[in-house]
This record gives sequence, structure tokens and C-alpha cells, in this order.
Amino acid sequence: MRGVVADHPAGTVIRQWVACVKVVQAMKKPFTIAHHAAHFQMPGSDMSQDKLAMLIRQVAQNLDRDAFSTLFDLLAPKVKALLMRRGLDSAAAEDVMQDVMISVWTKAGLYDATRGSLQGWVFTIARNALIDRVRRRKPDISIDMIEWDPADDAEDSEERMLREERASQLKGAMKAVPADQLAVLQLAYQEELTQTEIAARLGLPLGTVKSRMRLAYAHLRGAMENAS
Amino acid sequence: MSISHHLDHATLVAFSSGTLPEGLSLIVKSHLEMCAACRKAAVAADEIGGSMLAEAEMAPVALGSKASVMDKIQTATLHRLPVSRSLGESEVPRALQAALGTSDLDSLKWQKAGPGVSMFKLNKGKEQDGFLGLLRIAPGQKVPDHGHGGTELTLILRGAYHDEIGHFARGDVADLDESISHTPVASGAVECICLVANDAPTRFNSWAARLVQRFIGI
Repeated sequence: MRGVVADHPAGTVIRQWVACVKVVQAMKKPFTIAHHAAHFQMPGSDMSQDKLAMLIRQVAQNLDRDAFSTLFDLLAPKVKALLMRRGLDSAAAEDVMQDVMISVWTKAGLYDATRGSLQGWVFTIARNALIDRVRRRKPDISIDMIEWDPADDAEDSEERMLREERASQLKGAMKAVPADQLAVLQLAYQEELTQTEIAARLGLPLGTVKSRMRLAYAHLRGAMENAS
Repeated sequence: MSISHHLDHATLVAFSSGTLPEGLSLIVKSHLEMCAACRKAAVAADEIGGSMLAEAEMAPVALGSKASVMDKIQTATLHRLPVSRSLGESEVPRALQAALGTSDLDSLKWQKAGPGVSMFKLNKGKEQDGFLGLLRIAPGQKVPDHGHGGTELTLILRGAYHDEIGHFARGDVADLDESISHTPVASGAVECICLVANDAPTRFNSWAARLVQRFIGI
């Protein structure tokens, strides 16, 4: 955020504004201010599937630095936020986020839009980077989401529609997941708790945690496949 | 390859979220290399993660962060081809090869673990972290009746076994939780080699097996 503010001609005014909002932020959920600050240069940075797919294709096919720069603006702050939620401090999250973004560049040619969304792919890169860091070992190159099949360069409009539809179905379906099931998913994906830790946190038997995971998964997968 | 026993979706969710213990994750990765249905199921779980990422707040990146990344990508080596093009061709999945340092199961230093059973331990961690390693069971040999403290995953690499649950052949994975107790028997004329991981010590149901367990540390 300091970067965004300092680069702007009206930096002083904005610095003061940010200082004010920071006080408010201390009492609110963190996303309020971060949201404003990060959107400052880039209003309406809603991650549309279409836009993301076009950008990653430009990176993969033309090594397009401008397209990558836009992807960075869209993804880097979210990746960093996710990593911080999962227990990294700001400096460590910054570090891992940079590695993740460099991987997005170097692996762009492996991303296959017919297999899944870009954010799903980036999520797996971030997850693996975090695991590698925590386990202090060499990067494990074996599993990123899409690496099993060669990427298909051609993309027809039907696939594109399907992708848009799947993403919006998933978003809608997420809201319809019962609260007790959603909580289990959030504790795993956002707070990085194991099944055993979730059971302890919620005071539930391990079997109940597993069955809630299964139910939530079935619900969401069903919604995604209904789109196909 | 025709696979009849798959991963529990709760295991896939844990794997996808990056919260599955390391030993169990190795089995999931190995099975995914062998099973198209579970790969598809795993992509769906990763989409849940992607959706959580899309919904995440925006944490401001550090000053100069983007410039530094833009600089580094100028010299970064590109990955042009999928790293795993020839899946299922080797007896040992690539994820396991990396952990073993070899693709030849017969060249490992197998350790005797009982009549007709030998093992190769992969984790050198403490016993309470659970077991990760290979079991090699002679044809017709029975593994003592046991239950599990937590989750146990078994992936068949060679041969087959059967137990109270069913018949497990190459590529099949048995995803068992603490409620299940079983007595696997290697079936057919060939030995059965499987990769086993659990997140809590195995509970053998006979005192004789428990006695042996103290020495072999499964």
C-alpha cells in the first residue's frame, strides 16, 4: 500500500487519508481498508473468468509483460492476504507471494483453462509454495492442479461460457452450503487446520468433521457439474 | 488402469487445502498419478480453494514488490511442458520415486517384520506421528487384524490383497478411518507391495502382534 500511495501525485493527501482509515481499520475487519487501497489504481478489479483467462493466455503465448503486470495487480494482494491468514507474517507472506507470482509467469504455459479456473490453479501454486516453506524442503514439482495433461491452446466460446458459468455457480453454491459445513471448509482452506485440529476446535468427533467435509464437497461439486 | 477403490472426498478436501499430514499426502499424490477419476475430483476441491482465494481480502503488497517480480521474471526459466507426461508407466509413481530416490522396489533394503512380511520405512520421525513406508507381503500371507488410531491410507503398487472390505489391486487405495479394523491377506500368486501411511499408531488387535509392533515400529 505504501507503494501505491507514494507513486501517486496526490500522495500527501492520500497518506493522511490512509492514516485516518488505519485507525478505523484497527476496529474493523482488515479487508475494509485494504480493499480501498488496493483498488485505488484499479477500480472494479473484480476477477472475471474471461479477463483472467485472456491475460494468462497472453502471458503463456506472447510472454506479455503488460498482461502479467495486470495479473499481478489482481492476484498478488489476494495471494498475500491468503498466506497471512494461513499464519505467515507480512514479510514472509510477501516473500512467498513473490515466488507464487514468479511461478505464475514460468508455468503459464502449463495452465489449461478447460480443466479449471485460473484462481484454482493459482491457489494450488500458493498452497504448494506454503507447504514447501513450512516443511523447509526443495520445491515439490510433482503436483500443480493442471499438470497432468498438455495444455490445449485452442479454446472455443462454449468452453469459455462453461468456465464463466462454473465459477458463478460455485460462488452461488458456496452461499447455499449450510453454515456448519462451510465452517469446516473455511477452517481447512483459510485457517489451515487439519481435520483433527478442526475436530478439537469445534468439539466434534473426527468422523463428524469428515462427513461435513464430504457433504460440503458434494454440494459444491454438484453445483459446478450442473453448469457443465 | 481400472481402479475400483478411490480416495474419500474428505481426504481430497484436506489434501487440497494443504492440511493433510505429509505421509498421507504422499499417498494422495501417488494415487492421483494413477487415477483419472480422483484427479478430476481433486480439481473440484482445488476450485473451492480458488473460490476462497477470489473472495480473499486484498493485502497491500510491499513497496517495490512488483518491480522486483517484473525484474526476476526476465531471467526465470519457463516450464514449457507438463512435468508429468508419462503417467502410470512406471511401477512407482513419480511422487514416491522422489521420496525413495529410486524407481526399483526390489533394490530397497527391506527389513523383516514378521513371517512373510517385510517393510521399508520412509519416515524417520517419532512414532506418534504415524507410519509411512512400504509393506511387502508374501502370497497368501495374512497381516494381523488391526485398527487405526486415526486415518490410514494404503496404495497398492504390486499384486493385490483382500480383506473384509474388498479386493484391492494395483492403483487402488484403501482410505480407512478409526472405526475400521481389518485383516488384509495378499491374494494371487505374486507378492503384494503397498505404500502405507497413517497419522496415528496402528492398533493391532492381538497381544502377539502388539508385542512385535514394539520392535518394528509400525
